[in-house]
Amino acid sequence: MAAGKDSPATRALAFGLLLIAIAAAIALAVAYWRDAGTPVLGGLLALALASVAGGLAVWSRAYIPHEIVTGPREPIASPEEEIEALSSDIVRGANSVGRRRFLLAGLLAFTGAAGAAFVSLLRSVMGPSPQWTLTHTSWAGGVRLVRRDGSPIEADKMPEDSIVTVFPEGHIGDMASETVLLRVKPGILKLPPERMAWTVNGLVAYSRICTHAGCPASQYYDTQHVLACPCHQSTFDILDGGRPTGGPADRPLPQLPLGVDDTGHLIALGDFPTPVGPGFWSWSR
Amino acid sequence: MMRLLRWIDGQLGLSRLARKEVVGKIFPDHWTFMFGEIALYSFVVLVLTGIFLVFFFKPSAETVTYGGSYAPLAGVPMSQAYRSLLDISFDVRGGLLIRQMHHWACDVFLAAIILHLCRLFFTGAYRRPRQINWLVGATLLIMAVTNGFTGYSIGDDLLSGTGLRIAFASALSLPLIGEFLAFLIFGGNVPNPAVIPRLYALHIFLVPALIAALLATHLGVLVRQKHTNYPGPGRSDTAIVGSRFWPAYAVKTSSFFLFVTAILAALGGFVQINPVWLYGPYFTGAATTAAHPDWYFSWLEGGLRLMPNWHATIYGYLIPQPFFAAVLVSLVSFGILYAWPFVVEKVTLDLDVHHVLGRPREHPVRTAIGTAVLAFFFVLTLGGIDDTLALIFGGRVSPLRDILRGLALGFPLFAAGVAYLVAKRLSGRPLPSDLGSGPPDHTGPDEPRTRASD
Repeated sequence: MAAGKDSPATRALAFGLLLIAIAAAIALAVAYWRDAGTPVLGGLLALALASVAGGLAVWSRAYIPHEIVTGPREPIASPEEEIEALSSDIVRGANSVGRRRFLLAGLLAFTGAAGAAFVSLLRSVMGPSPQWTLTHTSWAGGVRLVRRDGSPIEADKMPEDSIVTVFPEGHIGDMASETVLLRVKPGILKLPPERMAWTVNGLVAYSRICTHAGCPASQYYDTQHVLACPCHQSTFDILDGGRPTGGPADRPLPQLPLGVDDTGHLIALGDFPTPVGPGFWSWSR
Repeated sequence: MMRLLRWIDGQLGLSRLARKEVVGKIFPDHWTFMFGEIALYSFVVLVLTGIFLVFFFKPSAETVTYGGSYAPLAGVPMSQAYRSLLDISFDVRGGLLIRQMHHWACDVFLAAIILHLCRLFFTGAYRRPRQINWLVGATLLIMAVTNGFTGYSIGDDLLSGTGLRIAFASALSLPLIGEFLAFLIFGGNVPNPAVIPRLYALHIFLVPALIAALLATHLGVLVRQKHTNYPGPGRSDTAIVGSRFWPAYAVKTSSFFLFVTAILAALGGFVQINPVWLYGPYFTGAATTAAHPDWYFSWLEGGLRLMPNWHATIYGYLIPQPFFAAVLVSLVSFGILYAWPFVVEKVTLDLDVHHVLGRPREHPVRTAIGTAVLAFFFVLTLGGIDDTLALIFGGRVSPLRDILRGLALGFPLFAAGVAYLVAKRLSGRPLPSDLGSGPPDHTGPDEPRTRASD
C-alpha cells in the first residue's frame, strides 16, 4: 500500500534531516544568546524549518500511503421546495410584523435619527474643518519669512540665483505653509504687473507643495529656472508664475506676496491667493 | 484517543461531519493549487511576526531625540514611531530578522494572492457555484493591499511620509466627498499627529480581523463546495479525485508550511528590505527621487505618473488628475474584478454548475482577456518606477513616459493577440500526463474507491 521506497537510504535521509533540524534549532538558541547577527539567526531558522520540511516530505513519500481516491460531489443547491418553504416563512413572518405599520414607521424614524447621531460623531473623527484647513496656511500680512533654523531673511543679503526653504515665523515645519524663496535677475521674471508687485527686487516665493499629489517640489534646476517634484516628475516654471510645464501637475504653484518690513527683512503681504497642494472638489470656491 | 473524541462529540456531536469533511476531505493535487496555500501560510507568518513587533513598536508622532545604537542618526530629532522602528532594527535582539520577515511575508502574501487569482481566472474557477468565493477573495485582495499600505505608512520614515501625502491627495481628489473622506481617514491635513495611531489601529486590529474573518469564510466555502479538479480521467461535476486530508495531505501541507516559513526566514535573514535607517526620519519638505512603494502599489503610482495632466471642472468644481489616475483606475479595476463572473454569465448564458476547470488553451478569448489585463498592469507597474528605469537605461524620464503611455494602450492588445493565437494553436493538443496526480483506475461517482498511486 505504501507508495514508499522504504530503503535504508530513505530512512537515513529522513532521520538525517531531522537531526540537522534539531542541531540548527539548538544553534539558533545559542546564536540568540550570543547576540549573533541577523543573517546568522535567519539562516539557522531557515535551515531548521527547511530541514523539518524536508524530513516530513521524505517521510511522507516513503511511509504514508498516497491513495488517490474518488469521492462523490453531492449537488450543492437545495431542492426547489426547500427554497420556496424558506421564502414563504420569511414572507409570512414579515407580514405579521408589517401589519403594525405605526411601529414599523417608528422603527424607521429611529434608524434615521440614530444615523444622524452617528454621522455627527464622525465629525469628531474628521478633526479640523476640511474647507478651512485646505484653504488657509499660517501665512498672513506682516509675518516674517524665516529659514528652517528660525533666522529671518534680509532682502538685500540674499545672493542672485540662490534658493531657500522658508516658513512663517513661529510655524517652522508647518507643512501647508512650506514655501520656496528664490532670487533671480529681476529682468527675467515674466509676471503680469500685479504679480510683479508681489516680488522684491528679483525675490519671488512659491508654495513648495506640488499641486499634483502634495509631495514637496524640492528640486531646483537653476539653468532652466524650473522646480521639479521628485514623486511624479512634475515641473514648474518659476519665472512664469509657477506655471506647470511638464508631468501630471496642471495648476501653478501658488505665489506668496512678498514685501519688506522696516528692518529690511522679508515679510508676507498676505496668504497664498489660491489653496496650496493637491486639488479638491471645492478648490476654487 | 477514544476518550477525547467521545468528550468532544458529547459536546458538539460532530464526529460524522469531521470524518467526512475534515479527516476524509479530498484534496486534488496540482502545483497551481499551492498559491492559495502560500498566501494562507504567509498570513500565518505575518500574524506571528506581527505579534512580536507589537511589543516594541510605539505608534506615536511625538518628537524624541535619537539615542540608540545606530550612530549616524545620533541626536537626530524624530518621531517616537520611527525611533521604535530603529530600536527594533538595532537594539532588540532578533528584531531586525522578525521585522524583515514581516515585510517579506507581506510581499509574498500579495504575490501569492495575485498568482492564485490568475489561476482562478485562467481556469474559469469563478463559474457557478464559486462566484461567492470569488467575491470573498477579491475583498481579501483589497484588505491585503490596504494592510500593506497601513503597515509601511506607520514607520514614519521619509518614504512612508511621502506615500501618505500621495494617499491623502488621492482621497482628497474624489468629487463631492473627497475633502470629508480624506479628513475622516487621516484626521486632518497630512502629516498630523493623529495619522500614525489611526493607521496603527487599522493595521494591527481592524484590517487583520477582517482578513481573518474573510479567510475563514473563504475556507469554509471551500470545504462546503469541495475543491475543483483539473480535467482528467474520473474527474467530473459529480466526482472529485485527490488524496485524503489525513494523513497524506496533512503531512504534505505541514511540510509545505514549514518550507514557506523557511523561505521567509531566509529572506528576512539575508535580503535587506525597507532599510528605514537609510531613508531617515520624515520631516516637512523632504522627499527623494527614485523612491518607490512596495511592488503591489507600483501600478497606482504608475497611473499617477503616466496619466496626462487632465482635470475636469463641473460648474466651477474641480476633479483633479489623481482622481482619474489613481482613484478611478482602482475603482474600475476592482469593479471589473467583482463583476467579472456575472458579466461572463450574462454573455455565455452558462448558468450550470462547474467543478472541472477549463484549461487556458481551450478558452482562447478568456485567456486573451486575462493576458491583456496582466499586460496593462505590467506597464502601469513599470510606470511606477519610470525614474529608476530612466536611470538604468541612461535616458530622460519624459520620453520614457511617452513610450510607456503608448505601451499602456498598445501592449495589452498585442499580448491579447499573441495569447489568443497561442491558445488556438495549442487547443485540442493532448494534455500532458503530469496534470493532477495521475489517472485513477476508477470512474463513477457512487462509491469512493481507493487505489495506491505509483
